[in-house]
Amino acid sequence: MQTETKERALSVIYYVGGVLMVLAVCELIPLATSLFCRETRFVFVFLAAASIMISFAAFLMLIGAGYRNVHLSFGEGMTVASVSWLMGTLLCALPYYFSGNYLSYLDCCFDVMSGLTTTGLSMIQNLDHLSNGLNMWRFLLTYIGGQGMVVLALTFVTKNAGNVYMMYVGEAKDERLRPGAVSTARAIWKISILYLIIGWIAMSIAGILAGLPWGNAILHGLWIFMSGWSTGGFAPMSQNILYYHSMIYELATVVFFTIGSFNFALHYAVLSGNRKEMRKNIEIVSFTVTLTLLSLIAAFALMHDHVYPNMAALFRKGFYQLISGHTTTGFMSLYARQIYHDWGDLAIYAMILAMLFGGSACSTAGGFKGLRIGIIFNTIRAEIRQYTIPQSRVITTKIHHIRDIVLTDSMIRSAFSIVVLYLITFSVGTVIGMAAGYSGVESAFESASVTGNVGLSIGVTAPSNPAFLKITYIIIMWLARLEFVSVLTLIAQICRRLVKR
Amino acid sequence: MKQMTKYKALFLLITMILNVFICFMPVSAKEKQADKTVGLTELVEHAKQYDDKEISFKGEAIGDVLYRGSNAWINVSDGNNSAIGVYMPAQTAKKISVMGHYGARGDVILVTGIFHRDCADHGGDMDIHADQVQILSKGYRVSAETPRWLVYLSGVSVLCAVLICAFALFITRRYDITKKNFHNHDNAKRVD
Repeated sequence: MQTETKERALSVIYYVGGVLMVLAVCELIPLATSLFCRETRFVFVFLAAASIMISFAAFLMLIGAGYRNVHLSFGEGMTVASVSWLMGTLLCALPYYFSGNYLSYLDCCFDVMSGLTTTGLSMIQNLDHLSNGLNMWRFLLTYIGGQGMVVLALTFVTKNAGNVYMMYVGEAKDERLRPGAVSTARAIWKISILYLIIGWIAMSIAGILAGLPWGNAILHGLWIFMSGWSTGGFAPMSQNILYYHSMIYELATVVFFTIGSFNFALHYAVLSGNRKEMRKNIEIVSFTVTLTLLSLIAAFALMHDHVYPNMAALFRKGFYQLISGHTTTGFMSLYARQIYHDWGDLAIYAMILAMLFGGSACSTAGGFKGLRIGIIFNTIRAEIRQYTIPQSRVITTKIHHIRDIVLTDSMIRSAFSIVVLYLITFSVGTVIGMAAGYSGVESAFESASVTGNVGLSIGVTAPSNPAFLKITYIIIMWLARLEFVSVLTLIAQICRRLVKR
Repeated sequence: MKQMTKYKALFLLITMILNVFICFMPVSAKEKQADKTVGLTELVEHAKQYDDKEISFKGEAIGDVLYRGSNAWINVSDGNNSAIGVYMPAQTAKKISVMGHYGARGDVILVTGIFHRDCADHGGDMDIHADQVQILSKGYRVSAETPRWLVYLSGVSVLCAVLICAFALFITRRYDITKKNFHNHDNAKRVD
């Protein structure tokens, strides 16, 4: 029994090593960028970081190589996902640390976790003078994290499809686009790369129209697309989207981050010819309803307080921040402190709700997710209807998501549980923010942003934050991105081992 | 003793004359403007106070010149990890020769113009419409030195990576350890 446990642990180590190896190989892309742009210092930065990571990953894979075909249980698959994210964060922070653009290793880890979880909050120093190589690494991390780094890695590392599926679920993606887990993961990457080509071209054209020289238009186009599609929120300049001073550029980002926040299963259905799905899908309906309601609330609040001089400004500042928050992207077209000083409580409340609601399940977005909001709304509606009809009649609740689905108790319980966990995490983040000395509004806004993996800021997140606040935010980003289950499974397994001893 | 008092009185008189002279001494135009400059944090935190008023803002021109017809946007950073957009005639923007980016410090400019908290002409952007742009110092190239420790570290770590990978490949191919354990395990063949 003990031998089997050891074998399984070694198998987990092998897969974690596999994930780290693929991430290390990805560092060759910023290395090539630095070489191309003649950024000598960063060539050495990436050489050192990549080889340290490769050595460590190879060591882990060597230890567990004999057990790679062991079939992992659900809990072990979850453990691979959660541990890979944690170890990946610690090791992917090396280039940041060697670059000298961060005040501490904790800040580097914060930025890596923020990138991988597609949050977009940052602790970086002197962003406006950052090398192209390091910028490429920031956006690559966001892009990989958005689609799912464990799945990307394991489609290359293993042929054991059963194990891949466990880890795929562990990374908070449970839709099967195709019958097998590996083919599903490949389909996700095909969709993302298709949009990458379209989006890169479109954003480059938007950049040229905004006045960027063509070289930077192409680079910024690639980075902003990667960040927008992954609902990340990083930008290459410190002013974020405000840097471009262009409505065309802002509109182009809205298109791509909105599409990026949709379910991969929906993309797959639409690209396979099922266009009707766009109208009928529960997540699209849910997103449209919540976005419309929250936009109306925010617009009313901002117009009532005469915050913006005209409708164009209301759209580019009010609506842009709201949809950026709702899709959990985090692109900003104003300064963080402007939200605190200029927007009233009602508009900020609408923003907090938008960030918590989030995008779609099995997408790059965070938050509660449209599918769960749809399930909860339909359940409540069915409950109310149940009171109005004879007790002998039972109402079955249906939703449409790719196909018609009759809601079962387990689906409803799962939706409620995850939403409650999000709310608890949001509350804990708010309380810790207040303990760090920020006001209730500031703490709640920032906590909602971290919990929803959004990246909008009201001005709380800064390198001067106390370490306990940074660590809290790192943990929340990790928990929320993996939708609690895999991290809680890991904690439960550790606790069980400790109790047994 | 009397002579000492005389010297003290003379010293006091000279000091007083000097003080009066310093107080009424005309200040150069450059120093006057420097006193009036406002930082970005101050502008964002107290935007209403400065809204639609003339201000002076000093900072480094960063990124790219974004030309829009006969006008242009220049983003200016005052060094506090953010920048503000300055809208100016394209002819004025062309005077700025170096823009700050990796490997270069941009021209330090002094902008005098009207500050807008939410500019009606530019979709609510917080910006400055420049009336005057003065180049205080020219930008320059910054050579990013590669520290020796980084060169040594990358050399050693590349060597380690090559050795470990070679060893791992040798072990796995030579002994076929996967196959051996694969047969020992009951659950091994379950795949979806």
